[in-house]
Amino acid sequence: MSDEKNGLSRRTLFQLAGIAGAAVAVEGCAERERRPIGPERNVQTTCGACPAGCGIVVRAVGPGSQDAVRITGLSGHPVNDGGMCPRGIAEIQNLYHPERLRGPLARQPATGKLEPIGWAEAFERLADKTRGSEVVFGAGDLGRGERQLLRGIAARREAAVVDARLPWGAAPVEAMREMLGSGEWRFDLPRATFVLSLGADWLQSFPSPVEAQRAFGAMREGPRRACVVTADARLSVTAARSNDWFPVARHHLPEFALSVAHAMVRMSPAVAARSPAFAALAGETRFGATETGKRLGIRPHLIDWTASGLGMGGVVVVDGADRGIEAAGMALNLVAGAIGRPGGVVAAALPPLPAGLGEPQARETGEFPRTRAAPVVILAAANPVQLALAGSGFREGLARASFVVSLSPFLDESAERADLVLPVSTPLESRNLTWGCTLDGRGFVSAGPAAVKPLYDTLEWPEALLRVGRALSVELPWKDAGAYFAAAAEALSAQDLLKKGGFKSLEQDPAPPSLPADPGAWAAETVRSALSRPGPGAFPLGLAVHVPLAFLGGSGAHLPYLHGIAQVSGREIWQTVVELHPDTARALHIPEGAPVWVDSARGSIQAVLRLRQGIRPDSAGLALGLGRKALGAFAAERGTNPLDLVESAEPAFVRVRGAT
Amino acid sequence: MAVDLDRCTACGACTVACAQENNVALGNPDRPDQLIRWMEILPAERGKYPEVSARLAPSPCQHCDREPPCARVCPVYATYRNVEGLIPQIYEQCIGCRYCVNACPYTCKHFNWSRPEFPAPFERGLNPDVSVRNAGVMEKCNFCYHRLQVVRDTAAQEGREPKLGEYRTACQESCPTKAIRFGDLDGELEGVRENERAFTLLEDLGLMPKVIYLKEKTS
Amino acid sequence: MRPGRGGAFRVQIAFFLFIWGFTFVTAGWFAWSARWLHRYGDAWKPAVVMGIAVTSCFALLAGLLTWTFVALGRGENGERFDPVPDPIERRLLAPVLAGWSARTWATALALVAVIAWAGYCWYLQLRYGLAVTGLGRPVFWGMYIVDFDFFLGIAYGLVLLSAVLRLAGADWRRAGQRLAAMGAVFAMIVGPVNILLDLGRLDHLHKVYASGRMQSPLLWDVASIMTFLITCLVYLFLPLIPDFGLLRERVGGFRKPIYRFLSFGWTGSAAQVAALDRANRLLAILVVFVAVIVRSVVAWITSLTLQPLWHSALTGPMYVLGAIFLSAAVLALLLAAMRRAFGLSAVIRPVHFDKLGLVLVLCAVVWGYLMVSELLTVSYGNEPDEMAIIATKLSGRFSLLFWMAVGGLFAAPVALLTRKSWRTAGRVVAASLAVFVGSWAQLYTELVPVLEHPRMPLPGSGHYRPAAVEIATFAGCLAAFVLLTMILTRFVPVVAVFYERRGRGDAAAQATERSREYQAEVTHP
Repeated sequence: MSDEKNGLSRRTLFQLAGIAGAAVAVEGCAERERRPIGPERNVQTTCGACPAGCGIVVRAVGPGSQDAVRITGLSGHPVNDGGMCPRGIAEIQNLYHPERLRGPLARQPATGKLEPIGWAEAFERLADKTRGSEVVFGAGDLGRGERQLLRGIAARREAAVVDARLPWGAAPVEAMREMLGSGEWRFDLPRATFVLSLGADWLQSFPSPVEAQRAFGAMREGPRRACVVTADARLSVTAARSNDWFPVARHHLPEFALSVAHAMVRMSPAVAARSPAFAALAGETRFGATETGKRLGIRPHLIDWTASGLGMGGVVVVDGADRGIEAAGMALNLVAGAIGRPGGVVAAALPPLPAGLGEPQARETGEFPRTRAAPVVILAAANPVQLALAGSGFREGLARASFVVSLSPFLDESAERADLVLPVSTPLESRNLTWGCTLDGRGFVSAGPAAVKPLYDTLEWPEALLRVGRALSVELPWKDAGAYFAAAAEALSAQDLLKKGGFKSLEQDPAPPSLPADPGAWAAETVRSALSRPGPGAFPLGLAVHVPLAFLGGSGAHLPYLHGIAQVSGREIWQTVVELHPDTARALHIPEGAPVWVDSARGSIQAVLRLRQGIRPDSAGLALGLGRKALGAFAAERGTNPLDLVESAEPAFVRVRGAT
Repeated sequence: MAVDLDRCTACGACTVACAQENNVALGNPDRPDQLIRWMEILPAERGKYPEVSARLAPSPCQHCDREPPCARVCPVYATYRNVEGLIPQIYEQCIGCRYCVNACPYTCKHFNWSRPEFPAPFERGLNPDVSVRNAGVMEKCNFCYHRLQVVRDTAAQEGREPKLGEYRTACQESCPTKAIRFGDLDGELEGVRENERAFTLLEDLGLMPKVIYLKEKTS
Repeated sequence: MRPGRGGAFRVQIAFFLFIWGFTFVTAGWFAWSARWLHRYGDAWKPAVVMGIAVTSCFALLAGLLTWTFVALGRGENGERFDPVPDPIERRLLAPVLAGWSARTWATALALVAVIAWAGYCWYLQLRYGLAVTGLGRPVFWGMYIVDFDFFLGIAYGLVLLSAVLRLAGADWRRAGQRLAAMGAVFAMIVGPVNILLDLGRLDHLHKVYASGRMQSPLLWDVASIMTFLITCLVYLFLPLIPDFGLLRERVGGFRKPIYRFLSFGWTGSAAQVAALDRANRLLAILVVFVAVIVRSVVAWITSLTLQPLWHSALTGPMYVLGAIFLSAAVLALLLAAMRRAFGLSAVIRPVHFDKLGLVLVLCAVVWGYLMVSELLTVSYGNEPDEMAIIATKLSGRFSLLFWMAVGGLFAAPVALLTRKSWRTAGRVVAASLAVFVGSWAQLYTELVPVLEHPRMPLPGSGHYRPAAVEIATFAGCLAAFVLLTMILTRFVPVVAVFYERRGRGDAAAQATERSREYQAEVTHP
């Protein structure tokens, strides 16, 4: 009775409050309702955000536990051991992004617009268009298995595969292949005692981000405490966290490597035997520390110091952006005796490939085949409109194409121009089975089920690729993704892992690969030609492009949480910043924060000027990742794309002028 | 909380993990100055070219142990030092005057300039343990207080005391280099204060922040 | 029934009850807060101290009013009150008795349009949040707080200035006394609106009363605004009583009963005049104390934090001086406006501008001294955090505003008004405009540069630039101030008729008396 009375009076009170509230009720002040928590589930699986293959635990709640709300690292996993990278955590935003594709789209000839279409019809159309046509694949950031699948299909269809990944931050695969016979080598950072980062901002852009961070943590641990030095034009995150930063302009990096090699050979002439060709080049007097130091604007003793550090068991980390730097860095590793040494560059131990994923495999090229007149282009996670370098000819190839197919979870810049858009699932909605090798050369297999059911009418990557293959009349031994996963898991004895999620380490040691007679000959050749490249002319500033971890591989700008960390050493968010030294800006009479134009021989982009001491006065720093034209409010028309300035990943030169 | 700057690589996993865990507003690209991130990496460049170094320090709310300036000036008890020594923020109590953040020497609080919007289906990724804030209130790192509640509830259900290291923050959990550690100074973090590398931000103000940094080793 | 004990008497009784009730409620609020804080284990003493201060202020006011009204009632001699109209009265009452011209209506409508625009902007802000302002991180406070300080400066300063002049017995103050009180009341109404604009959650405002934390300077501000608003309403009202008595006799229609009620039975008897004079004198003493303290409270909001440059003991005195300075300028502007609008050159004389000009010059000199003290103290100490902020003021982003403040608050008054012969109405108005703008610029440069330079290198921190919404609402506040003033001039004379008339009569006698005094001192050592 009294309760009822209380209830009544409370209700009246609420009504009164409601009336009072209505007087001030505006949309902004309305209370939020809570979502039901529902049954909770922790799904152990493998991250598919990048090919590294971290173990993760996804917390799923809500009705049917289908809402992924938290991702944590899986303890003990050989790749991440409980750690996460920001991109992995942001997968939740990728999954629930409003701009995601809901189903396949096809361009209607009548309207010229992309309209929804059924899957069966989509693949029929693909089969129609490809019949008798040449096919070119563009392969972006695919998982290891998916990449093998794609290359297998391409090989059977005699189609070309163009590597559409961003070269900045990629492994120096070309140098490894040319010098060491295979691309499967790892920088053994966890065991390294001395690390020279040669123009590589590896803490931010590394093929396996969590491993890079973990390796750094391991290096800093204990009494051993490895020494890290970074030679780069700007004080990158890696340089900032290094023991020392050598400001070397990007186009001077091969020379810097040569002078270090020069010093090493002088210290102990025996090392020249490791690569006579490269040692001969480095032995030229112009690469003496004093002379080189003067030419490059750095202190000569630093070169000697680096040489002694490397000589005592160090490793040089380079990325695959520029062939000259790549070759110089790997040759330096060779001279330092780092190849095959623990704490140096070690061969990867990989499990035997599942049947059907091995040969035949199409070779990936960096350039779009120019001979093909009007090919059908199939883009697998590739976005050449945004990310292809001008020199690769991919954009022209796309313009020439008779038919363009895009496989991607999003309607990105390239998909917008495609004739057929086939949406694939995001990693959290897909099963994942991957294998690889950690930085210290230990092989592993990691797998797991889909964390949540697919939100939309999308296909898992293997399924999409297999059906593309069938449309190209390529027969692979699996009828669908289920069969593929089952077969691959069996071959890797990972059936349990695929169901319950998890990892296993491989025990076998890699067979020591046989090196060519003088592995450095190719490097010496490549570096020699890099030395003869033109220096700064009308464009006085060396361009130092870098890829922040937030936008690794050039993607990720559509994920709002990543923008908070995109400018690690600055304050500007959602805008492209050009970094200059204060002296340089003073000479140009441009104040900090002013809008500027950055011009190169190839084009111009707009940016905002930031002054910092941590950049060479003869260089300009720009970050990749912004300047998108698609992908919704968080990405489209924010900032500019520095790739518009360059022909290739080779060192480029720019000019900065005020935009008023 | 202890942050080992010698191990930290400024990868930003903590920032993103924190935002994801605490349903932090996505942000408005047109107003980057109104962005909210509880955990931030503060860049500080020192020296002149070429002798330049930079410190990149992950920085959450410092949870001052002694007379937090924010709690001192709050007119309505929306922020205070609780019995655990944490400085929570009560969104429903806050009137949005922003005095606390102006009094905070670390400026490590954030204001919801507009109503945080999570356009569908973003809202499906929201953490159900944490409320989504309204427009016009302050918010800040609370050391994942909801996790402490979960740990306590679980321990109580199982009829035991919470275990050492059971209460973990999202940033700590995600940190790939294990640079962020969290716990009691006489428990999980025993000896951190005595570490010769230990320092706190703006130490001379005497606010005794509970975020203790271990500075980079020099060798 | 004795004369005057009609409905008006009952309303007067109700008014007494209200003001006493208000006093007790306030006391109760503070007591309740103290108990609540005590229960929370928090410091309860601030509540007690503030309760005693504010309540005793209200009790003094209530006692003063009660006593005055009783005295006024006692002094009511039942005679018909009908002073002979003289030219001064005709001149001063003309705006009240005549209607508004078409031009005045047009001005009023324009002001209403500005206010409506501001209101719409406020609506936008309520709908979309404070995101529509230029505020962000780290500048969490901007123009709203500057405007709040600005209007409160006008209010506190006007009251302080006129009360000090009254206590000093400056004859010339009479012409501005009414305008000062009026301006103070309107600034007190318009100023705190900016706080409402600035609040993130207006719908949680009641929490300030329900669970206010007395240790917070913001609560001191709430209490001081409350106290001062009541105080300056009384300060405006008491000297109005004789004029209400006069107007009661002069107007008809709907206004007559209002004036009759408000005049509290004023008949101008000697006893009533004596009672009112005493009340006014006591009130002047009270408001001087209240105004200095509450103006300092506004300054303490920033100076009690640990932020570089804010954390300075000089802020309080600077704010008090700034308030007097700004209000002298506002008063000069109001006098000039009224003289022009209502042709009051017979009442508002060159001497008024001369004296106000003198006040401006004196303030400018003291301001210059305080500013130099601050700059010297900070620069010599050479603390990096503080020097970075000073640098942006002297030559950086804020240099324009800073030098506008220096120009308006020091250079202009000194250059324009130093010599007596220079202090003409036109020059004083020009200097006043400079001071008006300079004061705003100074408040802005006290607040924003500090916030733009947080101690921590925050990512994503931007520069603050006021957005259209903030500018619109400031314009709306100014328009509201002018409109309220315009409306009130339709109901009360802008210069107190009673005091003006009496002052004129007394002036010659007072001057003779003074001169006799001086000479007496000289001749009889």
